[in-house]
Amino acid sequence: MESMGRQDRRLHQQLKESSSRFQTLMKRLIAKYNQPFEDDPLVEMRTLTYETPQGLRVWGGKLMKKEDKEYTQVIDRLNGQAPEGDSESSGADTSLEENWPSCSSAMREASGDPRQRQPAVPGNTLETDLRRKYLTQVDILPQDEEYFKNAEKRGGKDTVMTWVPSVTSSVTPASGCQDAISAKSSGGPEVSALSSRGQGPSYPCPADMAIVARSDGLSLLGTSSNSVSSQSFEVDDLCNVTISDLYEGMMHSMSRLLRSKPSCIISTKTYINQSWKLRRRPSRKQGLHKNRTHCPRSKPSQRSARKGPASCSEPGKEAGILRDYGNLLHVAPHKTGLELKSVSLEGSKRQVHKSSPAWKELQMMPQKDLDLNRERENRVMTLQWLISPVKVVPRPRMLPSQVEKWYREIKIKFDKLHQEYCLSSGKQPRLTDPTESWAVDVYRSGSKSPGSRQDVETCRPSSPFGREKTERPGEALEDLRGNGKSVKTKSCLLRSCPSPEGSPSRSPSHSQLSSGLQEHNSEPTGKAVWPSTAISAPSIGSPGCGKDNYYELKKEFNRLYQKYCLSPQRAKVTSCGRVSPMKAAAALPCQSEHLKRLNPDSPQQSSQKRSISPGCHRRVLQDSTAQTASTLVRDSWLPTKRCKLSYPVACAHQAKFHDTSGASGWP
Amino acid sequence: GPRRKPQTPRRRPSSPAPGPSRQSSSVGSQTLRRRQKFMWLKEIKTLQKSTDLLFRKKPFSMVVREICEKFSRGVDFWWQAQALLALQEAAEAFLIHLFEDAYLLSLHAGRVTLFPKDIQLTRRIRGFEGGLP
Repeated sequence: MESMGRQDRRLHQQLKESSSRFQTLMKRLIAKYNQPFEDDPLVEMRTLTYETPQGLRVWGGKLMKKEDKEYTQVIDRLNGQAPEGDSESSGADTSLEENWPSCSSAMREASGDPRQRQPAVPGNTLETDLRRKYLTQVDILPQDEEYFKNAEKRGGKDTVMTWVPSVTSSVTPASGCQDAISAKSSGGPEVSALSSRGQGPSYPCPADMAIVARSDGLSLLGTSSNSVSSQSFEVDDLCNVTISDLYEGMMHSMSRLLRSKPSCIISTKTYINQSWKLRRRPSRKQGLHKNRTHCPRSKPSQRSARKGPASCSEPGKEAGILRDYGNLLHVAPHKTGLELKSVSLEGSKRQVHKSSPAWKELQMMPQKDLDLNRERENRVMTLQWLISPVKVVPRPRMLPSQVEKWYREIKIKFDKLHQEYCLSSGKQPRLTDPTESWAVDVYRSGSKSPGSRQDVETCRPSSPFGREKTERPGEALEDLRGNGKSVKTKSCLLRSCPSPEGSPSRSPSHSQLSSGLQEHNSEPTGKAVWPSTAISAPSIGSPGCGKDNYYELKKEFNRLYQKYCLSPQRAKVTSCGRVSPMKAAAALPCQSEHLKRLNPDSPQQSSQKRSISPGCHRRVLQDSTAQTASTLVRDSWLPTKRCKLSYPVACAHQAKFHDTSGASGWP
Repeated sequence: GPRRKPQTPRRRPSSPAPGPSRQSSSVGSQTLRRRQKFMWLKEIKTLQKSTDLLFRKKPFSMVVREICEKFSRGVDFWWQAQALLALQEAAEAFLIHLFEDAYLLSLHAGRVTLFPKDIQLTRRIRGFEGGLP
């Protein structure tokens, strides 16, 4: 205990002694330095050098040589201090580096030598360029023409050029220098000091030389280097940069950006629209067919059918397609059609790979036409084009034979599958495989794909400009309804005029029946009967239950007819006041001709789909009534006309179904 | 004059080598240690006698510049050479004083090795007046 106390006391004593020693030392120090050292050399903290009778000397280092002086001068220039003598030596920094590594390293650190900073800089060129622009504006002000004269006098020996280790990386050194200044300055005082230092025009301003004038010298003298031209151009730009110039560039970039950007957005928008429509339809179907027996079975299939195209459609590619309008209508329909087909095949878990090559081919197509249709795209962008329902649609570029081939292939496959499943489902009255019905549905929609595709696609051209148009889902629904009504009108009219070969249509081959029905439905409206299919397809349900299903379908149809077609009939009364049936009938041929020219696939639908205002709904009804009249008057005219009207593929397809469709008239 | 850093006593090996190896190299190592000890002591004595600055001027001036820039906001200063020398002397004196006190504390703790905690404790005891930030 006592020893511990003694130790503590000893420690205390020692500590006191040391503190007293320190105090005495400090007193001595103060006494030592407590006087004005008037003749004391001043050490510049930037370069850590001081003047001696022998010359410039580094604090705690060697006497500086001539090259070292040059180096400091260069640094001085960098830092905006006017040196006294001209600097001619080119290898200043390198020699300095060799002779005086420690100092040079220190200097480099101090001044932010580009060589040291270079690795960090290159990625940051834009920022540094901007910085340089900014500082150029500041430093170029006192600059005079005299500088340029001096620069010319000096010829190619631009001392500051020696600063740059390699001319190829012409931007980065400058940025490095800039960094040096900015790093050094790190605020306003430096800039103010630079500008207020009064750089006379008699000699090149150091700051300019370091930052801008160097490049100016380059541009003037035209030293041989790879990047000289670009640099000079850039520098000229930098020197003479105005807000208007910047604005121009901004506008250019913005326009470019806008040209590319909205397409993506649009594509997503269409994507959403499409998915919405696809989603909408089944819900409507479900609402309509509450007494449908196979509803729960068909639900997942519908869902998957909904998901199918969505998964297939790639936004990026769609964007590419959407970018130009020319491809929009004539390629995309095929695409969707094929998508549907592929989905159907996928649903049956077969032959996906066979349809995929075609799909790829189709994807390739729009890319080729991108550049060609740029100008057209601009025109497309106009609002007038958007609003007008009449659009000049380029003819499909696909070879009809190719499409026919695909169609046949798929048809054959489908028939096979159908046969298989029909036989199996014949034993089991209700659907055993939901995918089958789904496949049937999808196939059906695919079989009359010209119309259906058109339906899917018609929303696409509208939606790219959906911003201006502000096409909302409600309106789209309106369109659908309008379509449905018109289509129903058609179909009911067809029903009202019974075909003589009604009975053979009740063949057990349900696919033929259904497709025949659809064909029949679609034909008068120019194969634009997506909604009708959407309604009728699920009602057809299982292909195995031949007659029962048929009657069910019929019942459903009647009900729908009551619901939808009677209201148009009522509207017809009102619209007939304006457009008499005869007039409409008279007007129809030319109208249909016109529409055929515009859009051979779906004249009716195209006009309807692009109708956006509620007022157009009226027009749709009028159209339907007009066509009703035409069908009434020229019943015999239609079948002959159909082949011409229809799209080649559809024509081929129709030719196949022509007999059956003629036969499968509604009772 | 010769400028060497004062060598602080190094930490002893916490886990000395096991017996046999130590015994094998006992003679050589002991003589080496003795020599080293003598070297240290000699160096310490010479450094204590000298009144020269222990730090190199340039690195110290760079540190000074760094701190100066921090407070001068980029505006470069010119320093008198004597001012730099005075600062360096004062700094060295302060550090010597600090190390003296810290080593006293380490001796008080029964060690011959200076630990960082000794320096921290020294500063703590001194308080704000003694250089505690």
